[in-house]
Amino acid sequence: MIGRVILAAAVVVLFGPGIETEAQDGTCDSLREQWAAALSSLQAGIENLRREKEDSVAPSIYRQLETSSPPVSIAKAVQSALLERKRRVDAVEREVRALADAEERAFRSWSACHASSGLRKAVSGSVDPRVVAGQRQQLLVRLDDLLLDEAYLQYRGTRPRRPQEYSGYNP
Amino acid sequence: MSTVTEGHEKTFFEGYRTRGCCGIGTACRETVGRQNRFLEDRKATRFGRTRATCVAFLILSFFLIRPASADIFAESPPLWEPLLWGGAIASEPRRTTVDLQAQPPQVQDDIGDRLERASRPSAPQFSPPPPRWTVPTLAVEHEDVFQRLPYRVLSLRNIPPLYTSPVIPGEGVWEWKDMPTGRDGWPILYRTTYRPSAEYPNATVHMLLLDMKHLTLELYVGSTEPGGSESTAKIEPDRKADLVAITNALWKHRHSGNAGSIYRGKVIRELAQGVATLVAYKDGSVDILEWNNTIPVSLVNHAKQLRHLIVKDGQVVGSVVQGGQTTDSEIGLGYLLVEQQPSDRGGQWGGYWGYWGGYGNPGPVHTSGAEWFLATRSAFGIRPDGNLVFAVGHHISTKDLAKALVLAGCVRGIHGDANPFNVLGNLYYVDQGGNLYKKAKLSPDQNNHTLTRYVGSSYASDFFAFFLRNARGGAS
Repeated sequence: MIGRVILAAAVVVLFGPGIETEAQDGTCDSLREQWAAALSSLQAGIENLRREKEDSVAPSIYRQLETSSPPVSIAKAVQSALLERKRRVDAVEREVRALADAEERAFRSWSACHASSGLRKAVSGSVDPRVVAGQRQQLLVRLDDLLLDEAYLQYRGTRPRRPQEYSGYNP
Repeated sequence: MSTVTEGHEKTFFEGYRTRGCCGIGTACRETVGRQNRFLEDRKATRFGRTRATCVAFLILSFFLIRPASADIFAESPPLWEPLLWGGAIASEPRRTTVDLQAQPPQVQDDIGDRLERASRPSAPQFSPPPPRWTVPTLAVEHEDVFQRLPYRVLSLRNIPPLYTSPVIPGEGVWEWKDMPTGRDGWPILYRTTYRPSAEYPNATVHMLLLDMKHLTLELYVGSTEPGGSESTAKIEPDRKADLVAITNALWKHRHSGNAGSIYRGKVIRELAQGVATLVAYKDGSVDILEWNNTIPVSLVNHAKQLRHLIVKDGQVVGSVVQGGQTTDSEIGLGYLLVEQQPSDRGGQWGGYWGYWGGYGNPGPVHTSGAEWFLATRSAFGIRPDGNLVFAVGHHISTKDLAKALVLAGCVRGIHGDANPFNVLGNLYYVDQGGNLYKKAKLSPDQNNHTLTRYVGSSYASDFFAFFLRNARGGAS
């Protein structure tokens, strides 16, 4: 009886990881596909955000100047158009941030799966997450630029103020 | 026991004797005995009453009188402080609405204010302790308001002083007395002085509120600036009759990074996306905003840019993003920030303003060290009603200057020139014949020689001039 138990344990030890890896390979492929879909959604979201940010406020300004009754000043028409744009951009930014979070989660899941399966056995034909990391990083940098407050684009290349240069206020 | 020695008792028995009770032997002794017992009882009763009163008083004192806390005598805390940093206000400054339809000013009663506030939904973000202070009563000169003529309505909310001592007369109260007026004698400019800083009590701001429904803003390009010449740097002779004020503009081009400008519809340098911009449109309306490249430049008459907004969405901008990091929002150019300047105001104001302004020594002293940001500065703010506020601050940080603009009702603000030799607010008085007969300074700490520029002679740096609008209501 004890001999049979030892034999069964030996079988599991010898052949178990192989079975598991094959099962994991299937899961990793599925996770990779999920990540690819999330990345594609994020790319579409970033493109949408870029379009919204570059969309001209001029038509809205002219429309208000022509149709508003009583007539509004140019300053009011511009502010109104900018407010409208801000609402649209804020909504798209929220969507893009959610898509970026989803992509991040999908990528981590796939990376973790790939790492665990790779420890046991090199799977031929599987895509390494490290291969796409560079491409992904470029996309995230572009996203950071798009999400940066436009007022501070001017300071993108400047040195941040050091703590001793602070004014003492910390609202 | 001596019973009948004291005033009241003595009188009592004297009266008793007078009625003849003690004239008969034993009866008299008994009577005296009764009198003694009576007096003892009465004294005991009085002592008991006194003791009971004292005990009651002590008990009442225990429950009713609390010792004064250490900070009960502190100066008025700023009720509106949380509002500046994004919180909600629980107790508003007293409002003075000046209705110019031949009505006296409607100064809302404090109780009325409290009732009005009580009926509003409570703000969840900020719950201040119950007030133990009194908001100073702001003076309103009824006679002056009665002198105003009908048609115009401008809502002015006075700012309760942060400091109660020493008193600056009229601090936080918008005044138009002795200011240039419209052709019809109506107010078009208002001024006040205020100390906005909780940390630096000697930071003083002089503010000018410009009624832009009746004024138009023109940029003049300094003779040494790009696009400038002798002719772009001084007021044209035929416009002197409409001139009411001149202020400094923003920084010189060479110090302004990628900031752009537009002069009389001509682009001197492309406006940059997102940069804080003071703009005057072709219909005479003005604004302060973060520039968007898709706003049609054809609508713009004048524009100047500098850095970031210092007031945004009605709040002081406390931090900015630089090089990917959130950092302090103070604006400065290192050694170019100057704190002190020669004081040429003489002895009349020297003591008082010398103390508050701190300008005892002649000669510029560049700011440095931990308090590098305290300097002479200027700023512009725009109110929701489209009116502009110009502020000159001495010994002040960007944020405290921005705070003053917020208290003046501004929703967006931009930093102006910070060179004390160029920071100025000049007021011009023109008579019925169109002759300039008087000039005045907004800030007493402003250099006198700033009054000699701009009219009749050109100047090297940019400046803004404010003119009365023409009869059609558009820009002159």
